[in-house]
Amino acid sequence: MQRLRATFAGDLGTALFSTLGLLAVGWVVILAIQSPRSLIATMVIGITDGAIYALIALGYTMVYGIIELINFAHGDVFTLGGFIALPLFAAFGIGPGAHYSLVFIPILLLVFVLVMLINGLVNITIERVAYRPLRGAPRLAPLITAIGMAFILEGTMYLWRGPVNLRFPDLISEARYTNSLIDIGVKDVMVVVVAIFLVVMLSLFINRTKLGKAMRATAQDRDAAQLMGIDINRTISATFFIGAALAGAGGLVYALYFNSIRFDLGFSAGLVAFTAAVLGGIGNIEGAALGGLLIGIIRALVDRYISASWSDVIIFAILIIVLVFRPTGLLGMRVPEK
Amino acid sequence: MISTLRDPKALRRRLRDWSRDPNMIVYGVLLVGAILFPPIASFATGTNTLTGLAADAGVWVLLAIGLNVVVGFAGLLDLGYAAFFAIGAYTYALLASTQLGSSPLHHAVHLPFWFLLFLAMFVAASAGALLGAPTLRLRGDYLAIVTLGFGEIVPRIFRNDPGHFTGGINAIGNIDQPTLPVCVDGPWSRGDDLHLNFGLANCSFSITDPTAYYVLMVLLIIACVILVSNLQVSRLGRAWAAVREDEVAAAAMGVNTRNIKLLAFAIGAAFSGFGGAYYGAKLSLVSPDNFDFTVSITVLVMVVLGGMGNIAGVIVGALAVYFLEFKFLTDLPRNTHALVDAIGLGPLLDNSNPATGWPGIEDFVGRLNFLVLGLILVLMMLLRPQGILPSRVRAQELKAEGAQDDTVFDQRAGQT
Amino acid sequence: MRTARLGRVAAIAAFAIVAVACGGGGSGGSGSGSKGTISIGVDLPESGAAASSGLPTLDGVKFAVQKAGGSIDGWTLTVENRDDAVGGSYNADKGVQNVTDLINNNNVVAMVGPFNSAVGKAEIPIAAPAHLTMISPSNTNPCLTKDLSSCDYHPADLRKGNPNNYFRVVATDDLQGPAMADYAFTTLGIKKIGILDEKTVFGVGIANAFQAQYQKDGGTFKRDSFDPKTTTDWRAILNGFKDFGATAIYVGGTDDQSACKPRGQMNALGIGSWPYLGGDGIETSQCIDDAADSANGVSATTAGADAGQISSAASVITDYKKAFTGANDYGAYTMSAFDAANIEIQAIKQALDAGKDPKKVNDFREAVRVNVSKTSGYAGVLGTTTFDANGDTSAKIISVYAVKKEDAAAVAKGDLTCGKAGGSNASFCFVWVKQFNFGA
Repeated sequence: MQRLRATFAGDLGTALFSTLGLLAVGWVVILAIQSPRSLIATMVIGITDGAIYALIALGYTMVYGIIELINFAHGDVFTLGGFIALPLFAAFGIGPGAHYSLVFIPILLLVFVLVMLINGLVNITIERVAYRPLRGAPRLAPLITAIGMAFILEGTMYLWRGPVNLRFPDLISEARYTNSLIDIGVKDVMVVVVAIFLVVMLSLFINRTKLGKAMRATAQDRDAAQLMGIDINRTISATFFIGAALAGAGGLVYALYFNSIRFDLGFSAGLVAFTAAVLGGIGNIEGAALGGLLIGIIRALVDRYISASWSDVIIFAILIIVLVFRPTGLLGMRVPEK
Repeated sequence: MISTLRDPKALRRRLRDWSRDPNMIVYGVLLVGAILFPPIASFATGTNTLTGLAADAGVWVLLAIGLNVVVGFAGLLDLGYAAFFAIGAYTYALLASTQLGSSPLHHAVHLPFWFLLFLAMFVAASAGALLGAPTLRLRGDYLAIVTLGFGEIVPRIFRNDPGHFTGGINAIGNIDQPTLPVCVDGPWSRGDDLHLNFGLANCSFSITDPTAYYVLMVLLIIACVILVSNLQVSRLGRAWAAVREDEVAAAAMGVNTRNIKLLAFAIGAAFSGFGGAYYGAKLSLVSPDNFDFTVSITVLVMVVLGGMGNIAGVIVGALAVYFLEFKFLTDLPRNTHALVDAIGLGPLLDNSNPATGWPGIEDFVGRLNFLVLGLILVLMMLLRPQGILPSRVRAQELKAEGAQDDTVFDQRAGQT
Repeated sequence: MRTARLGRVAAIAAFAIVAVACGGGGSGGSGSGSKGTISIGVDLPESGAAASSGLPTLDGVKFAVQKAGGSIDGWTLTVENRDDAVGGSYNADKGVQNVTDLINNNNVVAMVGPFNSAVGKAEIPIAAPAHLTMISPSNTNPCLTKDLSSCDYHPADLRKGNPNNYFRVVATDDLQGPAMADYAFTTLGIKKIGILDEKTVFGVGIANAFQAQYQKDGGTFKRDSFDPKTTTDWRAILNGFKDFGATAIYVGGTDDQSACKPRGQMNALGIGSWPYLGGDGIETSQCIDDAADSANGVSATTAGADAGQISSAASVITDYKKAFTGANDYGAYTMSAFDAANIEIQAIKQALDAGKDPKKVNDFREAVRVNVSKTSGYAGVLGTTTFDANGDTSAKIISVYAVKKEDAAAVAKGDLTCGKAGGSNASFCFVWVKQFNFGA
């Protein structure tokens, strides 16, 4: 029985994955032959969406890596980024109907920094108030609290700005580069550049700094890390801060891209990003980035060539299949099963 | 057990046990309340509306009792519970309406409610077992995510309706009403004087007459409570407790943990199948819009608030959350409006000034829903994780372990 | 066995409920001075994102009751309104609960609503056996009244053998869709179009009607749909239309399900100048706001005449605005609701004049229903209404509106549907372009 189960999860899982992967690749090749231009356009969409999913997924994966909590509220922290940016822009005299102008670039950068900072502080507070008291508690207790926190964040944003889609200033150039094969806009490039920049910074931070080292140590073995003199609370706070800062940047990028944001955006975006983190291997930073990209591309392909009304079904099916057959994801988990 | 009843001493001992059990007091109060509610409500308001609302609340009580088996007894977190509810509702709707007539089957099926009630239960339980079989070996929080994914997929499939069975967005309406061979009619339903009616055609439930549904719901809940209480103290219930407390130890003691968890999953799902069939009949409508994540979370809130693992507590939690969600918060905008008008704070109502963006107090309080649900979850987990009416066993466990370890689930619950 | 005994006791107790329940029932209160209360039930989406559709419509009913002086022949006339929105958008289950509630309220003799066709489909089977008149100010799905081959069900089945209780004062999507199809193909000269629906009863229905006529006209199309709750990125779908060679988009949907958000994303794909067409579900302020920088080029039909084209309407609308002063109090269906309520008030009056007793609620509801069904040549704000045997109005006028930038004075007048006051699209408004009269 035990062996059967192992086969089920191991070899069978690998076989299933390879088959599904090959089928998907074959399908994409056919699409490429049919119309390379339309496939490229879809890929651009997939990559831009995927970059945003990746920014959210990083927060999920970091928090899970360090305290093994699926931070349900994270999707709403993402939305919060956009919501915080609106009054900030207003404070600089940029109304929701504003348009691209070079003058705004420094303000935009400043707002980026401020949003990341505020969002990070909010998330630290959430951790302090809602998760830290439950750290010794069984793992399902903080999970329920996290769901509650998601509702609180969503409810607060709802109370604050109501149920409507909020208009967001259009501060990025609408210019496009088009030839017979490629059609790409400045906005597309902006999303990808911001995402790559942040992921690289994060990677450097985790691998090169002392705090990053502390985070890795804590993720590996919290008790041992504590014995080595690492301030666990500070390290966990830092993790929440960075996760929220990235998600906030993601929320701002999203809002700048689509010029619109709504209070409940983060719920579905968060679930999709979580799927991305699981697909990449939860707890694994590179995995989250890769998973985000893959999920973005899968979603765009389904939207374009199958139907948008099925894309959620397919994404959640992927989530279930990954968890059942290959809980370690594509790149493997950092956290070993205890 | 029969011998226990024949033996007066044992009976007396049992009665004493009952009278000391706070749950028995709660059950007693609930039962008396359930009996007195319809006459009082209809006397006070002149309509049956509140009785109908109470019957709807009963659906949530059933769901909460079912989820309590999964979360409270076995310690597994199920975030896609609404999916089983949907499966139960659709089972009834498909087999008791004209829907299948316009499906590829071209043949409408009209099976009796009483049979479908159990079929829906069985179908939902099978779905639970089917989902549980490959996933229950996952650790607790992964299981939660898988169930969440399942809960998101199921209503979407009903909605997208790939095989043209469920009517998709058109929903299934015009669903058959339960009928009885014999019924007592009186001023509360048909005719003014008390008389007996015979025949299925004469004794059909009616959507606009909630009293019959209310009685049915009270009976269903009583049956379920008896069933679940017995399960809890049975061998299976002890096995659930063992798995919840320490799965490894339970397995070492010879408990087949996988089957035990599977049973919890299936039995939990069965109750929502029950609730789903009843829901479809009472509303005479099953649409794919009403089984989303919020439903799963609302049921979870009911269980957490009431006290995981304690059936009486969970019922109280379900009633409290139902009242809050579907009566208090629903009526809040209207009542606030009236209140603000009465005490002369008219400006608060003004929503016409775009500069302030103030939506008017009515709309503002109408937005509190999410926030309240979230606050209940977080505050309960932080301040009173055992719920309003904690389970006796849990309370003792908590006392023994001290305040530091306010555990609701055991540390190792769900970890394999 | 303990459990069995407990069960038996409980069963007896529960049946006792029924016996005691007869003590209550039927004690309807009545005010002093008046003979009693008669209510018009209203079921509309009144909260969340859908409130922008429901509340102005509710105000139309309230206005009709105000105009009647709040009483009929010594009976106090009130509005019993129920909200069928859950989480910000309409919900059929909630609608059914509301109608059940209204039926159980002995003062309610007729109702106005619902707003959305999906809710209508769910409510008719509940209201029909109670003979409760429903007049919808805005349901446009044709299947609710007409037995068409394209429908999945027959209207007679909805009523379960009861006489027709469902009426509407607006034309249907089998006229709305084709009107826009002709407008798109002939007037705008669009030969290839992308058709998008949001997977709702209304959205799919109107998109199908559009598609059929557009095809008949000789146009070609590509069809796609999305998930109204979770789709946030429409670019892949829009690109599909682009690859197909479409030069415009028709959307079957309503703004509260985000039918206009794709419009806001079209600019980023360089197709923000395409015409974006739809039915009455997008003739709203929210849609103009969601369209962001591409509000110009949005066109929509409504299933009735434009009040501005009917001279007799002007004075009523002016009066209405004196009574309801909020910036967004006047909506596309305010006047339909006003007419619907007035038809019911007239029917109630006729029933009272014929000596019917509102306390005998079943008889009275039936009398009202019969009177409403006989409505003929009723001169309302939106023209003359005669109900046919299906419950459809004889006025089969479809109006076409296009979004244009208006000056402040025109916006301030308040009879146009413009972007939300104070928002960046506040000066963009739906302006009447032309009308199709299918009744002539």
